[in-house]
Amino acid sequence: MRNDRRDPDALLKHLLEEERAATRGRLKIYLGMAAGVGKTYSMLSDAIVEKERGVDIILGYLEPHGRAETEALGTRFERVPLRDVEYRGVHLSEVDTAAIIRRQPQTVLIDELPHTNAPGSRHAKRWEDIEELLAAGINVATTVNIQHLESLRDVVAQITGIAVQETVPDSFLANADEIELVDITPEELLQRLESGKIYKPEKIDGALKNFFQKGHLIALRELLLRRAADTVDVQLQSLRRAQGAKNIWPTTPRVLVAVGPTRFASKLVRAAARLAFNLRAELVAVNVSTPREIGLSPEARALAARALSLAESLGAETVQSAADDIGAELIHVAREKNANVIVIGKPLRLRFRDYFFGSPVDELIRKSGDIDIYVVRAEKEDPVRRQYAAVRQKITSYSFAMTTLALAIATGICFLIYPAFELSNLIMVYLLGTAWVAATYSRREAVFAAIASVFLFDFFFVPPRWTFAVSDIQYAVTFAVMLVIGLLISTLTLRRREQAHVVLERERRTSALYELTRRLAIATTLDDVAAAAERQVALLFPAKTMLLHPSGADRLEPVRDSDFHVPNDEKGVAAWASQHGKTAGKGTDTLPGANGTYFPLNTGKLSTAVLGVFAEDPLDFDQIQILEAISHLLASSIGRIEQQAEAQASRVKVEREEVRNLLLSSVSHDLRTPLAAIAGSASVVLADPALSPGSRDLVRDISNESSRLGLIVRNILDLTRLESGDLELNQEWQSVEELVGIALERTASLLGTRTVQLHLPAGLPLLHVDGLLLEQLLINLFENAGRHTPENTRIEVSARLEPDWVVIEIADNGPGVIEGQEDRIFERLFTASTRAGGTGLGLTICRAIAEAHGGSISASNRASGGACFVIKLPREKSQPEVVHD
Amino acid sequence: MTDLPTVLIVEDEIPIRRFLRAGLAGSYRVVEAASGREGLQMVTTHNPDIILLDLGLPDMDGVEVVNELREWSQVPVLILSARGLEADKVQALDTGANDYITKPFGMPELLARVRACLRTRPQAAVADSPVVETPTLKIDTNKREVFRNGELVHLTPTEYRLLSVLVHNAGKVLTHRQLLEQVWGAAYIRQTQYLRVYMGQLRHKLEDDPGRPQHLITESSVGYRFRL
Repeated sequence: MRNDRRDPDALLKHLLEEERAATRGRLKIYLGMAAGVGKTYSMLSDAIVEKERGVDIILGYLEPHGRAETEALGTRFERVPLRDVEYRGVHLSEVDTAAIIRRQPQTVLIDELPHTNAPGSRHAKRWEDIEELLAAGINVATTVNIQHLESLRDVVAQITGIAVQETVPDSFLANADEIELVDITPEELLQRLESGKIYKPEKIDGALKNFFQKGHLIALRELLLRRAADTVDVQLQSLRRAQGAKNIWPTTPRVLVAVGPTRFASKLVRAAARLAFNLRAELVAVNVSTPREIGLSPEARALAARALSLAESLGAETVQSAADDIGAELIHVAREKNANVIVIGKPLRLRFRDYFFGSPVDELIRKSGDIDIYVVRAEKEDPVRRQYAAVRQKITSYSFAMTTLALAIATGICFLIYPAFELSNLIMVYLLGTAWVAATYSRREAVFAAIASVFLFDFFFVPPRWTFAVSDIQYAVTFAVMLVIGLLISTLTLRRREQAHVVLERERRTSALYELTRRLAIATTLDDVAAAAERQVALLFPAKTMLLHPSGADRLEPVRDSDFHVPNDEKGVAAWASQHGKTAGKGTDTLPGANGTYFPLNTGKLSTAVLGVFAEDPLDFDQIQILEAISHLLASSIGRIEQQAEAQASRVKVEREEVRNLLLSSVSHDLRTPLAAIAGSASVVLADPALSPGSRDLVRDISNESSRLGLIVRNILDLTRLESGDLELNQEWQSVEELVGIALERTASLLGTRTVQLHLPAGLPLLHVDGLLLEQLLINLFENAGRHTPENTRIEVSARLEPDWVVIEIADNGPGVIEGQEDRIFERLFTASTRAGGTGLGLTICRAIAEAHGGSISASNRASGGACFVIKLPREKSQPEVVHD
Repeated sequence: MTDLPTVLIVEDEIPIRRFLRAGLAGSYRVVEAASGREGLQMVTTHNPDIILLDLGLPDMDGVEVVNELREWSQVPVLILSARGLEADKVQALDTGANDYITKPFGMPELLARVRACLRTRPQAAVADSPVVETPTLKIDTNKREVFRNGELVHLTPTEYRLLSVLVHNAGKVLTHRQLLEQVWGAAYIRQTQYLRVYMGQLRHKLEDDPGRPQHLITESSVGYRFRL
């Protein structure tokens, strides 16, 4: 029954893939078995067909093999110039990813997928460049031969004897939207080779002898066809699973591969990846580190880390865990990850104890239950030497002196008790001394103590005394037991101490992380966060850290001043990490030439803060993982601080605005009410027919001056409101004609006998503006015209459309603007003439209103005399819907 | 004296009340209230023909006064309000106030408004004759015909509906919301672009100078008014 419904995991995965596909560019890969099968030629021919259909296709890279036919096709495309990289005096040309993204074609053709970029490039590998192009929404077509697939590397090396250095992760191929198989028969390929179509004549012989042997080609072709068929199969499965088809595994199977600190680990991972691919399973790579490994050299530990990162690049999930018992831990992880297959390497030789207790492999198989165990044969390799580092290097003359002292004391005691006790009791005293040494110092001292005890015991006490000669053979057993016990105790002690060291190490990390969490919890500023990060990371590694935060125009700046500076070219690396949300710099695949490693602190914003870590040695896999965990902590802390700051800022803003609005409205009420009373009272008195002519003039003055005062008050209040910066526009759709109409009606008495001509073309679009403010703008301009032009002149109002603007012009026939002051008249309190009686605020308000709408206003003199004011307001891209009859 | 219409002034500012009283004295009986509560009480005791209501009262919001009043009285209300408080005016008008005047105003302007308000009182709606005439326009609501300078003007159904709503309330301001609701329906009350477009069309068909309309008047940020 359960097969009837869709597997939610599969469905989710499918959805994620679809979602990713929606914004990503499409990837098409031309896959062939060897050079010369015609991949590039096919890619270019296909592209020409597309191009003729009108698709914007450009050429990002074409491998210059000197094949004439291919070159001819290549000339038919626009090419993005290659980036010139100088490396140790050699000029290398690389794909210019940034230039292609700027160019934004629909599709870009990039030959030679497995190429390794010159050192110092943004990405180590060309496939990473392509990944970035795809992420930027550009379709990519590219070419690759089957032997470059990461998981097939070893197989190909076995077939051809040539180990390919440049590889492409299988997951890259698996994520391709389309794979075009370019296949010809080996015979045909050889024919082509011999006729000089693939290599220049002088290279043909060499090629025939090496790579291009018919046997090789047949094997490669088989690999190619099988892989292509498998890929199609996988895609079909994924589709069917998403559609809820029956008879499919209810959950995704998983293959777990155990990697250890051996050179074989990488090969093991590749083998497991192939197996996983064939089983349509997901791969999980696990490294279980045991207390024993503490003693391993950094190089040896790096082998496991390298295998894990290889697994990651093959699309595997990686798990790092620590336990005493590798087998039990593997089973545990396998159950946790729901894996049904475990892949392990076969140990090269059995160790002594394995004969008695069974090897770890046997144990694993015994405990595995329903999990299949695949054991892969290892090749002969140099064993990784245990280098006694850290703990074991504490052998000092002091420890030997103490050992000697212990033996001397034991000997002294033996002399004291010798007369009264049996010899076997004396052995106990020596044994005690040896045990103490073994428990206190390292194995070397323990061995020394054991052997010295044997000799001392023999020399002083075993008859014949005072010689090393042994009369009774039974003492041989005593000696052997003493030696073995000494060794055993020292081994046990050592292991306990190593475990203690592991625990201590873990404890140190945990407490550093805990301390970091605690400090971050009380951090209230970015500075606190940066300080906590600097301090805690320094406790964990010998490295300097620096928190970089985007300030202003996307520039990353250090949060705290520090005695050392990030060079400017390093900031580019940090910026890349910030924008792409991926770790970059030293120890990673992206820009590994940098001095620092940069961890993005993803807070869900477009560009994020970055933690830069500067260590002497490249960070290893472990350290990067810890730093990534720290980055998560920092990110959530920064997110919280930013949110608090924003909330605080908006609260302050709201409060400030409330206070200001309250103040403004009360000031405006207090100023306007008396003015309204004065004007109203004057109008009542003026209506009195009994008023004497002299009084009438006085009352009219009261009326006029109060309305002028009203105007000034209004201007000051408007300007205060406009310049407060956070004025909210009450935007609605308005018609130019209507706005001009209202303004003219309001200013009719002031304009008096001046005639106003309107030239408003039919079909002007509506403006999305604040009606009252726009009215005010026009009123101020008409008032300005009324004040500065003589009676009986003409004012012309016109409007026109520009691509991005609706332009309104108000032109008069007055004296115009004084030359050179066209801009100054918009400044506050600038009045051209005192006679006119303006407040010097009217035009300032006009400009503030125009700018608040994203527009502008300017003044100039007309050729025919008079001033012309030009208002530009944004033309809305789309007009609101109006259904007509 | 008793035939004079009664005007109730609800206003807290004494100087304003004083000049209003002086200006209205000859032709109206004037009663005054200094707060909203008092004003509402005086409506019951004095049965005014019109109320002049200030929106900024000390005890209650002017809009509340209109709201309470409209529960039991249809007496015309003329709002007195400052510029910049358009939202309050629109709210008062939508709640049931009849018209508004912006402070500062002169007495002649106020008197004209008061007269217009009294004319459009519901019981005095005899002016609802089927034919409305202005010097240039003739609107025959029975035949649904509109003439400009004696010539028949072709209007689309929506244009006619808009015009007839305005003409029916001639002299009175109608808010955007009221017009949109009556002409296009309740779903359109925020679609002011319809009014902008259709008013523009009507003006081009009916006004001599559409840029300076004489009949189809814009009340900025509030609504429109048909002026006879």
